[in-house]
Amino acid sequence: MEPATATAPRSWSPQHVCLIALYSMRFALRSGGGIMFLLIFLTVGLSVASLFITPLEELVKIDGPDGMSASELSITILESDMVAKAVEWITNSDSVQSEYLLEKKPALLSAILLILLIAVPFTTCFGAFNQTSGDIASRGLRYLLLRTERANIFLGRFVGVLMFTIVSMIGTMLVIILYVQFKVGAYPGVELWSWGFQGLTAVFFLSLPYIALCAWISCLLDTPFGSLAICLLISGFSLVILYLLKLTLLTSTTADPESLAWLFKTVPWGWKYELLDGTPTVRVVAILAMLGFTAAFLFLGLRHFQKRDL
Amino acid sequence: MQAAVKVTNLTKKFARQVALDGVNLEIPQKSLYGLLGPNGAGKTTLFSIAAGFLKPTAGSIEVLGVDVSRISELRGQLAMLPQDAAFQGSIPVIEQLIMFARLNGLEKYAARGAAEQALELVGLPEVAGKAARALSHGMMKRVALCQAFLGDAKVILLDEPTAGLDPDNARRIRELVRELTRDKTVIFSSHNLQEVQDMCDHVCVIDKGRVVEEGTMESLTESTFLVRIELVAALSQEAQGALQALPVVEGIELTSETEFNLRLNVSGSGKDEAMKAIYGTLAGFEIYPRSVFEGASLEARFLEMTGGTFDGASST
Repeated sequence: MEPATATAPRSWSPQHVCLIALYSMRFALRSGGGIMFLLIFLTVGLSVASLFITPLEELVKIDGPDGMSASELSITILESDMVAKAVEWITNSDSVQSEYLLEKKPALLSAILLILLIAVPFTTCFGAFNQTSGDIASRGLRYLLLRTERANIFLGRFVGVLMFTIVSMIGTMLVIILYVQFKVGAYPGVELWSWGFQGLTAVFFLSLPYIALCAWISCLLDTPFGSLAICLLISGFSLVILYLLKLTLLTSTTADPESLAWLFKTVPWGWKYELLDGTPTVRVVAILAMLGFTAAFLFLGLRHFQKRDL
Repeated sequence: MQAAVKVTNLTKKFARQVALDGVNLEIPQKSLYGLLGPNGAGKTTLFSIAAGFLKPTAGSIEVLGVDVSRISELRGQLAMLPQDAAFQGSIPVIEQLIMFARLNGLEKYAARGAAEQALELVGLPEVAGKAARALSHGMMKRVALCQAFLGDAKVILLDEPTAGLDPDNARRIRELVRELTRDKTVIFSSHNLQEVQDMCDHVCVIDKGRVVEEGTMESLTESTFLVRIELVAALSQEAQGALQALPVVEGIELTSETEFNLRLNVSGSGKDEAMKAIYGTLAGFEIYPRSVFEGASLEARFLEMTGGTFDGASST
């Protein structure tokens, strides 16, 4: 039998993290869980896209008023005051932001992204909930524990899920952009692809803290289903609590809704539209916030994973 | 010589239950060390702490002089067959073994070679491409054993390697362990007491989280001083008297109608001489033993030490 050639590492090893991530991604692709996640991500993405595209497809079939083409008509509708007001309400922003999203950028893709970002945390949980819980239950991690540090396993699994999520996101976004481009054909290709890439970045950064949250929850529990339930509950229930808190503060104090906007900034979900903001500094701050949440969840998860019995 | 494994005041509690209670052990290098104990004695807990799966409540374990809290420093030197750890069900066995070999420090192609070689060693090259869930329990046990032999570990922990296997598979595993663990320290837990007596040179009996007895197999079973003789018929009074009169015999204890123990005095002559005299005396009465065992039965000693019954079920 060949002896091990490398020297033993003293702490965490990037090489081991990469190796575990790579195998975790390959194993996910070959197991039912990974395929299910890919399908869920694609289904959610395409459902959101079809929510907007199907009515526009119907418009394309008819002649618009005053001799407008179908594409021009769809742009006119999406850039109307009513849609702009709706976007301002959804994003809790001013007219500058709605103008940026609806007029300066392909409006149809902006609308799809706005809805998609709402769903990202919940969709992400389906792919990330079983980072370690299943293997803790089956004690499969024990074969790895003899060969590497716990930190490498924890971070490797996190990176593996992240890579798999990125692949799923890219696939979904590609399908959406191609769908918009070929079905509606209302926007120049370069503009559409560059905005699509920016949207993909926003989806990626928003999913980061939720994957880290799942990593933490997953190492707390020994049951994959329990881990999924708790991840979804935390992602959704935290928003319900914040809404109730906001309502209570609005009724019991003189505070106005604008001044309570910070409340939702205490969870990653509250930063989602800043990730699409027209002002680069706002985007950078939102990205830093996402990285901050991610680091905090990873720190808590890693601390627990290193202490717990496996 | 430095101990291969040194356990110092090791205590492990699960909530209110004490699984290990101040265990102290020194396991010599290159020994085949048997760990015995009834259900819930703490054997698997001891293994799990030694391998870094569980954190001790108090105390420590050092393997080759390295505290197991720094388990990665033992990479490639410590291997284990965990009792109940599962492989990834849907992934081919070879891919999982390659990953383990790569984590052991081998490059991609060397890792594949080592994984294939390990599967050949356990006689299962044909299962390489099969998903783990497609394998039988016996095959899975051999695959799990082969992951323990990836690399060149100096200390190998085998937690009930033959549990749940049919006699043929159990025999194959025992042969593999004997064949592959020369010049290594092997710590072996089993519910098969005869298996431990046959294979191990050192033994430790744990009961209720405490070490009850520890030492060489020879000292535990008194194999130098005790022989068990089984006869076809009952031992006659005359033959018993003649044996008792031999200077090498200190005492006779009849354990059944056809079986008796002889306590030997080998200080003057060697054990071989003593046995020659005993066989000669029995032959004089035309008594030819059906079987002769050196030392007490480990099972009898085990029951005596733990004061309980032995049921052979899974341990904790």
